[in-house]
Amino acid sequence: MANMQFNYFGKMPIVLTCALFVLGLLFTAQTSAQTKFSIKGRVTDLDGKRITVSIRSSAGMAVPDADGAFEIKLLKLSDTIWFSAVGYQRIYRLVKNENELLNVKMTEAIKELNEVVVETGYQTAKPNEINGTVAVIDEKMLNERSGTNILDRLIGQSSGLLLNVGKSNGNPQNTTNLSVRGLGTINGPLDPLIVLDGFIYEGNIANINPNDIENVSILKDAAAASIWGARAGNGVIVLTSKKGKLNQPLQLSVNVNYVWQELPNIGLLNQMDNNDYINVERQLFDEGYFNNIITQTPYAALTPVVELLSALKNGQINQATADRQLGLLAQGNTRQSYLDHFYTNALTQQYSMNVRGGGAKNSYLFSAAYDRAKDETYGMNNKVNFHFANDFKLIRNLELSTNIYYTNAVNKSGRPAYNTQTVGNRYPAYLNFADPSGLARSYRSAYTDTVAKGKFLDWKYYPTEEYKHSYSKTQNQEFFANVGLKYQLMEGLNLQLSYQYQKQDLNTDNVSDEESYAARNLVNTYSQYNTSTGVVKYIVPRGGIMKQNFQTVSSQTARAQFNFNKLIGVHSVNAILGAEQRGADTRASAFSRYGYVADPLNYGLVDVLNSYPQYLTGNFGELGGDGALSSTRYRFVSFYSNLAYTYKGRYILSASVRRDGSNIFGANTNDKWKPLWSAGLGWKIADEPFYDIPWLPVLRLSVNYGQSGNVDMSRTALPVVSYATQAVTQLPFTRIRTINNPDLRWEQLSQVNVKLDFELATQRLNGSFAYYIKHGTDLYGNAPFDYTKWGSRSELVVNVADMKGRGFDLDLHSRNLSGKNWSWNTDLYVSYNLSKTQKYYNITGAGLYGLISGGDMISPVEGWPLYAIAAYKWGGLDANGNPQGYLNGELSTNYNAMAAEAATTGANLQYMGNASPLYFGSFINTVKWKNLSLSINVNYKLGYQVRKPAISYDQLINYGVGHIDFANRWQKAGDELKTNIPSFSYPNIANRDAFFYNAAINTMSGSHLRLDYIKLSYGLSTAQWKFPFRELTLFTAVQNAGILWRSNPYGYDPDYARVIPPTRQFTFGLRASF
Amino acid sequence: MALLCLKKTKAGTCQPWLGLKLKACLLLATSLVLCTGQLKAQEIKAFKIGERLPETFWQQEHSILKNGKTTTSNFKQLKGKPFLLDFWATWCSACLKGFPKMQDLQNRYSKNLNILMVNTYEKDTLPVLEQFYQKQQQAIKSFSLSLVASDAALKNMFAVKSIPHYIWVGADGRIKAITDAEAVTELQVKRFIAGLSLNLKLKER
Repeated sequence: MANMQFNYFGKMPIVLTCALFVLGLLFTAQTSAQTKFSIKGRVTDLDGKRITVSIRSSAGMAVPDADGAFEIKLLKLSDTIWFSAVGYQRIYRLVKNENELLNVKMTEAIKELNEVVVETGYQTAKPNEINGTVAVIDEKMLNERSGTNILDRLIGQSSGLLLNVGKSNGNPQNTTNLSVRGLGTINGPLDPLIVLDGFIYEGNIANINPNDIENVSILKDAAAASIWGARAGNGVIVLTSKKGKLNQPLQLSVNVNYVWQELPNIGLLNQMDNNDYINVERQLFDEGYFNNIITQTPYAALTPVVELLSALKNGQINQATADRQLGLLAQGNTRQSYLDHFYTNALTQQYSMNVRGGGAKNSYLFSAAYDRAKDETYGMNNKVNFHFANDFKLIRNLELSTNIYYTNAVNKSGRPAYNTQTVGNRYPAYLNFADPSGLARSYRSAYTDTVAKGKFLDWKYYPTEEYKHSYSKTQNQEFFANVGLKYQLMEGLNLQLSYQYQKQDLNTDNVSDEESYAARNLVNTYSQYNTSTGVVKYIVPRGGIMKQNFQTVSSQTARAQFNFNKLIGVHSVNAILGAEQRGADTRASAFSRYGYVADPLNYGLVDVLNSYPQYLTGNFGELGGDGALSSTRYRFVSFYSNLAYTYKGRYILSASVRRDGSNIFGANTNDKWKPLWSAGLGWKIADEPFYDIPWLPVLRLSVNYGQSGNVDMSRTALPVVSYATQAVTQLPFTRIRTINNPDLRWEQLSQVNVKLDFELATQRLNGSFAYYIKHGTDLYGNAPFDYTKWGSRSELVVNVADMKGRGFDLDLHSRNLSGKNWSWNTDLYVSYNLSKTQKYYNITGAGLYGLISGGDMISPVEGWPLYAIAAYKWGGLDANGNPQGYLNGELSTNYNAMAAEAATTGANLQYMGNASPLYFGSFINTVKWKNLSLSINVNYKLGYQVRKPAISYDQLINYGVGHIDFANRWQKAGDELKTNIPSFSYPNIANRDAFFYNAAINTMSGSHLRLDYIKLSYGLSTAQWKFPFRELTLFTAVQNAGILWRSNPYGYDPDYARVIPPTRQFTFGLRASF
Repeated sequence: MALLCLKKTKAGTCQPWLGLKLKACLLLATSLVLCTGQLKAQEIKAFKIGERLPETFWQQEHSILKNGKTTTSNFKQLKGKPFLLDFWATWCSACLKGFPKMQDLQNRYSKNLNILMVNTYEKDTLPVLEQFYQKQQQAIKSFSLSLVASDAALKNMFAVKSIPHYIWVGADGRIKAITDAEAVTELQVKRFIAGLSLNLKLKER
C-alpha cells in the first residue's frame, strides 16, 4: 500500500472519505459523457492580497494567477470546491450556478492555541509559571450559566469559591456574599476584592456586562493575592475584558437569550392551616390578648377575625352572621393572594453584540448590550452597556491602550413581595388582597370611616392598588475608563503608565403619589380638623411625597510600573516594580418633597422645624429635615514588586513585596504603613531527568507563604463626630460617635499553601490539589476600654482578635471517553474549609452560649468555627406538653435556670456543628455528540447544620406568624410520645419558647446535592454551514433544576429553609459570530 | 514505504498529487471494508505532547553528517539538552527554505539547543546527502547543522505524513511540541530552551 495523505479532507473519517470517493467515482462514470462545467472566481487573503492556494473540484485542480483569479472545471452542478493554503483555514464552497463568480477570502489559521492565562491585574502569566494558586474561568465556562450578573456565572466553575446563601452580615461593605477559601476576618468586610482590567472596581458589580468578560482569575492564596496588598485578604477576583487583536479580521458576535422563571413556590413555607389559625386568634381574643389594643388604641387595626369577634362581643352582629363570616374568611388564602396579584413569571432578556478586529497598528473592540428583566414581582430592571477598547502601536516601542465602559441601569420596583402586607403588624393567613373594601393596615376602618366626619382623605389601604401609586426608581449611571501607555525601554524591559477613572451616579426616587396610601396616611396623620367650622387644615400639603437620594462614587488610580521579562538560556526572569496612588470619594445627599404632583410638576412647602399633633394618637411629631449630606474620602498609596525566577523551567522561585499606606489608618506612625510580602517555591518534579513514572507525566509541587491585608473602610484612627442642629435651641452641636483609636491598623491575613498539580495518563486526567492554612491576626474585635481616661464606652474596637482557617481545594478534569463523533468530559471541584476563632473577647462570656443563636451570622467564640450552631440538649416533652432540657444534668422545665446554666457553664448545651458547608463543590459532566453538547452540573454542600424552621408561639401570639407544626403540637396526655412540638398556651412563657426554638431538635443537617443546571447546545461552524456565520450556537438550559438529595428528612431546601426557595429558570438563546 | 505520492507544488509545501490519489482510491474503492481495515492496521500510534520518547529512539543507529564528516551514532548524546528534530527531504523546497533559519538558531543557541535535520526519504541516499551537504556549505555561511540519514523507522515512529515537520523534545526526553515550520520562532525556541511550556498548535500529519 502506498503511504497516502488525504490532506484536503481534514479530519473527515477515513470511512467517509473512502465512501465519498466511491460515490464520486460512480458519479464520474455516469457523467463522463456530459460536458464539463467551468467556474471562475478570485481567491485572496482577507486584505485582498494574493496567496498561494490550491483549488480542487471533483474534476481536478487549479491554481490562481497573479491576481488571484482562477478558473476551475466541474463535472456537475452543484458541486463543492475546496480551497486550501498553508497557514490558512480550509474553505468549502458549494457551487450551484455556472455564472456565479466565486469571491473567496481565506482566513488565517490559528497558530497558537488559545491557552489559559492567569490575569493577576498587574501582569499576565501562564498558570504553570507562577507559584500562586489561581482559578481561571474562561469565556466558555462563563457561558455555562446565564444571568446578568458576572458573579452569578462563577458559581460552581471553580473550587474554593462559595456563595454563602442565607448568611447575613451587618457590614454594608458586603454585597456579594461570595467567599474565597472561607473566611479571613471576623468583623471586617467579607467581600473578595473585585478588579476590572487591572484596577479595583468600586462600582456596582451588576453594572458589568458579563458578555464583555473574557477571563476571570480568582487569586486564591496569599502568594497570588498579596500583590493586591492590604485589601486582598478575602481573595481577589480579577475580571479581564475582551479585546481586539492585531491583524485580526473584523468579527461580529451576537448573543441573545431569554430566561423564564417558574412562579415561586410560596407553599413550601409550611404555613399553618387556616382553621387552626383562626382558632388561635379566637383563643387569643377570648383570653383577652386584644383587649389592651381595643381599649387603649381604639383606632389601631385589628385582623378581620378579631374585628368579627369584637363585633360579636359588642352585639353588633349575631352568632350566625359571625360564624358565616368566619367561614368565609377561612377560605381566604394570603399566599394564593400574593401569587394571584403580586407574582409573575420572571423574564430576563439579554441582547449583546460586539465587533472586534485589528490591523497592523491598532486593534479595536466595541460592544453594546441591552438587558431587560422583569422580576418575579413585576419589578423592572433595564440596563444598557457600552464598551470601547482600542489599542494603538503609536510608534515603534510605544503602545497606547484605552478602555471605556458606560452603563446606564434603571430599576423600578414592582409589586409587594411576600410578607410585606400586614394588618395591625400581624400576618394573617387568610387575607384576600382584592377585597374592594381594602385592608386595615394600621387603622381600623370603623375609625377611619368616621374620622373628622369623613372630611379627611380616604384612609384605607388597597393592596392591589397601592403599588400603582407608590414605587421607587433607581437610576445608576457609570463611567469607567482607563488609559495606558507602554514604552519598550530595551529588550525585555518596558515602562507602563496607566490611569483609571470611574464615576458612578446613583439616583433613587421614592415616589408615592396623591392616591397612594403612604401619602394619604401622612397627610391625614397631621391634618387638623376644626370641629366647629368643619374645616380641615393641612400641615402636610395634599399631594404625593417624593424622596430623592443622590450618591456619587468616584475613584481614580494612577500607576507607574516597570515590567521586566527575559529569557537567558535556561534562566527566565519575570519581574514587575511599580507604584500606585488611588483615591475614592463618595458624596451623598437626600431630600424629601411633600405635596408632590407629577403633572403639572409642583410641590408644596412644609414646616420641618416645628412639631405638630398627630390626629389619632395626639402625639407630637415633626416632619424633620432629611437632607443628610455625606462625603467620604479614601486615599491609598502603594509600592509593590513581584519577581519570578525560573531555572530550566523546573524550579520557580517567586517573591513579592508591597507596602500600603492610607489616610484612614495609623495616627501612630508605626501603623500608618502596612508592609506585606510573599514567597514561593515551585518544582516540576516530572521534568527531572531521573523521574520515570510513565502514568504520571505531569507532577508539580509548589509551596508558598504570603501575607495580605483586609481593611474596614468604615473605621478610622481618628474620632468620628457628627454635626447636627438641636431641634429646640436651633444651635449646632457635635456628638462623638466613635472615639479616637490611634492604634487602629489593617487586619492581616497570612496563608501557607501547598499545591500539587498532576496529569495522569497523558491528557486523560489532570488536576490539582492544594492545602492551605490561613491565619488572621490583628483582626478587629472588641476590647475592654478604660473609659475613665476618655470617652464614655467600656469597649473599643481594636486589632485584638485572631482566627485560623484550613482547608483544601481539589480540581479534577477528566476526558473519560473521546471518539470521532463524541466525547465525555467530567470536571470535579471539591473544597473543604473550616475557619475557627482563636482569640476573641466577649463581654457576655464565652463558650457555646455564644453560638446558640448562631448559624446565619459570624459568632466569634474562641475555639469554635466562625459560623457554628449550638443548641440546648433536648429532653423531649413532659406529661403536660412542656419541652424539657437539662439542669445540673437532670431533666428540667425550669427555663430561666436552664438559660442561666447555659450562659455560665454551658453544660446543658450541645455543639451541633459548623453552620457553613465543610465540603462543597460541583460535579460537571459534558457529553458531546457531533454538534450537540449536553452539560449537567451538580452542586453539593456537605457537613453543616442549619436551623430548622419551627413554630414560635411568641411569633404566633404577637405577630400572627404560624407554622405547619402547630397541627402536630401536644394537645392531650400521651401526645408527648408522638410529638416534639410543645403545647400551645397563653400567655406565652417567653423562655419556654426560646428554649424550644433553640433546642437540638430544631437544627438539621444541611447536606444536599443540587442539580444546578442542565444545558443543551447545538453548534454549527463555517465548514458545515453556508450561511455567513463563522459560528452559530443554539442553546437551552434549565437552571436551578432542583435538589437531588438532602439529608434532612423534613423536605426542606436547607439553603432556603426559611425563605422562598428560588425556582427553576429556563434559558433559550443563541450565540453567533460572523 | 517512502513518501510515494508526495510531489512539489507551487504552494511550496509538499502536497499529494491528485491523480495518484484518485488512482489509489480506485483501489480502495474496490473494497471499503478492506480499505478501512488496511488503513487502521497501518495507523501508527502517534505520540502525544508530553509523552516520553521510547528507549528505541535513543538506541537506533543513524548516519550523521556534520562538518563534512559522516559518523554512525545513536541519539544518546542528545540526552539532557532540549533538541529539535526537523524532518526534511532534498526535493522539499519548503524544507530547504528553513535551513538558514535553523542554522541561525543553532549558531545562537548552540550551548543549550541541538538541532537535527532528519532525512528519511529513501532516495536521499548517503552519497546524495554528502553532495547536498557540500552544496549547503557553499550556500550558507559556516553551515554546521547535523544531517541525519535515517530509515523510515524514525519517520514511522513520529507518524510523519508531510514535511517539513518539527518535533520538539525537552531536556527530560519528553515531546514538548509537534509543529510546522511557522511555529519555529525565536521566541518559542527561547522558551523551549528555558524549559517553559510551549502551547503550539499540534501538526497532526
